[in-house]
Amino acid sequence: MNSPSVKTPFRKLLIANRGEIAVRIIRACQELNLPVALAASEADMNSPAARLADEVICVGPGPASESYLRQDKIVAAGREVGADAIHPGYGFLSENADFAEASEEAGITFVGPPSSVIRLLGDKIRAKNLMAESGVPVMPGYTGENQADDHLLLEAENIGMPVLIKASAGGGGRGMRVVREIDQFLPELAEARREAVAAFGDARVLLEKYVERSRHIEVQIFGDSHGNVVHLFERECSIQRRHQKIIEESPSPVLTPEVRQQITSAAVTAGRAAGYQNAGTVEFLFDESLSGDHKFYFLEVNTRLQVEHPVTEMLTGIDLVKLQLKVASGEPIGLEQSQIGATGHALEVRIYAEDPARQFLPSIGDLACWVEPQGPWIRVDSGIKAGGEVSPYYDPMLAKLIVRGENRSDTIHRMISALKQFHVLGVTTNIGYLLDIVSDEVFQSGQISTQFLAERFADWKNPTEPPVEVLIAAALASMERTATPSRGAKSPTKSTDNPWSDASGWRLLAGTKS
Amino acid sequence: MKTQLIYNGKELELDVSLGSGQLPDGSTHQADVSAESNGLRTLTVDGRRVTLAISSNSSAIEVSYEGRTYKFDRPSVGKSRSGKAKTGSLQTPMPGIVSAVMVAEGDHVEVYAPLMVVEAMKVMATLEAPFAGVIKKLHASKGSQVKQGETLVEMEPLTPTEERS
Repeated sequence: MNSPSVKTPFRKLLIANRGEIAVRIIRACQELNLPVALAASEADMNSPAARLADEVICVGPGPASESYLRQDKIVAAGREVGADAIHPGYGFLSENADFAEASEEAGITFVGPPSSVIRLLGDKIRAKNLMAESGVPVMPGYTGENQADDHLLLEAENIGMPVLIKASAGGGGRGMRVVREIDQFLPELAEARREAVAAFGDARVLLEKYVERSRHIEVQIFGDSHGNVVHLFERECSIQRRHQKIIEESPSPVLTPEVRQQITSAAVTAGRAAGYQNAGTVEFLFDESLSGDHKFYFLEVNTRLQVEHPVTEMLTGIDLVKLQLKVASGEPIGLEQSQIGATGHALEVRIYAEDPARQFLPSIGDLACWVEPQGPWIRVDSGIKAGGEVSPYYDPMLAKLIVRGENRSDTIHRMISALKQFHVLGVTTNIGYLLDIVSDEVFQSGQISTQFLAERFADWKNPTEPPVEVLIAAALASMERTATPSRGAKSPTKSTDNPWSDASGWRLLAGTKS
Repeated sequence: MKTQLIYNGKELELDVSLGSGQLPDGSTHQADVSAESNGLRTLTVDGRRVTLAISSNSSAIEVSYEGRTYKFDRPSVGKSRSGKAKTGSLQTPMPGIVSAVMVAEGDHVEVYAPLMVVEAMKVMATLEAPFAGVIKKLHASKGSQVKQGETLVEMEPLTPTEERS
């Protein structure tokens, strides 16, 4: 059988990102036979993504503000390599309406929603008002134009404590403050405004009722330029440390088929209301304790491909990056809602170079060892390899480990096994922490909330005593080192000097005492 | 053959013998080294086969096993672990980039004076003078990328102590 001819949606794609997501996008381009150029900083010129791309163009020094965040340099790079499309990945310029506009003006298709949609949904006040008008459930609160201090104070009193102050231009947990006592409202408001102006140049805030324990459930949507909007089911991302998701799964263990129907159709309604195109994620706050019709409220729309998109790919079998490119080229999605199914369970964990026992302090260094787990339904998206360097310039996420199983319990056990096969040396990682979370009985019961880590893992430490296997391995390694140099290089008894080099039945007895 | 390692500040003595042998304490384990590939090592310990990754240098050994990393220090050879304050050799507590240098070589500084700032992903660590003294040598400048434990500043006290050589 001849392989079906793959239609290349573009002439050449420029990737304006780095790390694992750059590698992920390159793989989709390779399957589509689409030439790909990578815009890379000086620090990333030898990264795995740079080696995979057809061409690499340097867009500036290591710090993101001098490279990956420089719209002018990236658009110029697109022109220089003759790209007719730019994929922004996530983070950096991916949700920057000005960048999307600048790309379009340069005649380069931005792989994402139109700039007007990014601008609309990036303004939380406008987005929330639009959703409320369209019948999407929104959290009670204040999204008015009157931003005077005394008026906001009055609104906060009406909402009742605790109340959440959100920067209208904020996102991803930035520019948010919880107020628990009304007399703290004005000082907190002043702080929130200062943050909002510094980070986003926009002092406007909205107020919301704050829910202490809730779940984060989001719905993947896709829209095209022909007016179609579909959903690709939900992901639950309640396991967060400091507003940062670290574990995501689908389906959510809490959704019944009825509520799943409600939340996914609310997401499609939200997408239609915004005129959404390309891949997007509608985030909801889910509160189980609520009685009545709605247990979920609209939070925001992320107008980009999400870090956790592989969870959806594993369940639906749909390649989201390829679909993004198809839709960006003007084609329809080509799938009816009824043709999109999800089977089994998928779980993703994010591997970070950080120390969970020391306030998640980032860890930087050379990777002495990087061995990824393998096996059926195990996927690793990484942008790093053994011998590579974890540099201080960027987010410390090294990789994502995604597994799929028949059901949640099967999937969790596959994840435990995969984490045990992940070997990283040279930097501290959160692998042991993730292993303990997925092994935790409350996590396994599915009774999770965004407070889960703060409540159960705040004082987490690695186990103190090394197991016997580790002691023996360390003892052998210490002998290997001391034996070889001290006896001289000319010694012919190499195999006994180096216990590791003799693969045939080198036998030892090890006793330990402390 | 005996070998010493330090784990979490505690000294461990391990006795590893070639061939058959008797060990004094009760905790005796039999192990075979089976294979090595892809940076991984395979050990058979008491009949159970396990896979580990090991990285070692002159001062430490790191072992990755079943999702955890264990770090062992080798007993240091003729190098004092204490007395850093008096010799005035200041190391960075974390890896990162030197974002500020407040002093120059030859400067006289007060005790606790900030000398250098190391920054990594929004976390800042300031190196302070452990005593009043003179900046003898700077090993990094603004923008330098530094590894954890790297010596960045060498100082000497205003009045030389008996420990100077």
